[in-house]
Amino acid sequence: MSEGPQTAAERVDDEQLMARVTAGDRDAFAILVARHLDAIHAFNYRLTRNVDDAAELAQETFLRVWHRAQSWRPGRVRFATWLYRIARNLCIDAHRRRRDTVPLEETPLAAPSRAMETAPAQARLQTALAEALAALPERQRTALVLCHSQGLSNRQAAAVLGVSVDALESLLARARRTLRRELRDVHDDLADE
Amino acid sequence: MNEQDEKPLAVAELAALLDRHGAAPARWPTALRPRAEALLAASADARAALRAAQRLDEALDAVLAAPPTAPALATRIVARAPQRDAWLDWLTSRLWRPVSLACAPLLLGFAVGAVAQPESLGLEAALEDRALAAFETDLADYELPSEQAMGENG
Repeated sequence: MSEGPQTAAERVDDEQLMARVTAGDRDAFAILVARHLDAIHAFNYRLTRNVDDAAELAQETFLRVWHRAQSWRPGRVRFATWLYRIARNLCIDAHRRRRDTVPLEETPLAAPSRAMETAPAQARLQTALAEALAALPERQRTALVLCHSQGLSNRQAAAVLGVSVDALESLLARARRTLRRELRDVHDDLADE
Repeated sequence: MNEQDEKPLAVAELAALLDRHGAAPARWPTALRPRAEALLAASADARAALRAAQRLDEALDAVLAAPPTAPALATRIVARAPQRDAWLDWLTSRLWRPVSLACAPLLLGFAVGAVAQPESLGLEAALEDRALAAFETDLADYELPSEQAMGENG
């Protein structure tokens, strides 16, 4: 059975594709976009909780890859790590801009609180968890999203955040303890009602 | 394998493992997995800790579920990437560092000149004042010969 072009493209690793992107190869860029767009879009959504922002930030992330391909140094950092770093920085900037212009209670990260009083028990748990997630320090939230939802290993997530694996695991432990406490409190409240 | 490697984890150690790696055994460090499983088989407290961690993981799965990517987004992104002149890219990427390094002293000179000029004028004025003051002090110390003395001498 002959191999199609997609199969051949799949065999080319990110680093080889980036070498071609650096030389202005749009086909290589298209393969990288197809390969990583879903993950970056989901990552952006999980950090911003806003569908429009997630799409816009994903676009901005990949266009930065295209424009700044020359600044990527092969061998120093994996392409996926670099990509996540760009996406994370853009999410932080977007959140900062939003916080500066929109009152905190209006931001998407805190928006689920409006459903609190009327939602059924399961929804209340999820709403409380979403609020607790939004209230976490950014690095704890990002560490959890990278490891739990994006499927990165602790080592890969540490590289994205630019911290040691020990420091990353400390962020994860603090985040999980806070969220578990929040879930337990809501469970207790529901049991009391 | 030493004795420590075969000993079941303590409940506190399992709790730390769950905090750092979550409830899915696939994410636990391979070396700790058999010891964690040995503890879970023996301890109700350990099983309760695992259940609490699983509940959190399930709730996170629900809260962090992401919508699918719009089908047209990939095409739009690639379409928005402008054509690049690879040769120009190469040239600018190779030249911007040396050019900026070469220009840095020049820019620094302009900046220092622009910022320091008013102060240096002030310094000059201050030095001038001090020189005049010193000159006046010297004059005061110097006693001119009186007219009488001059007459006597003349």
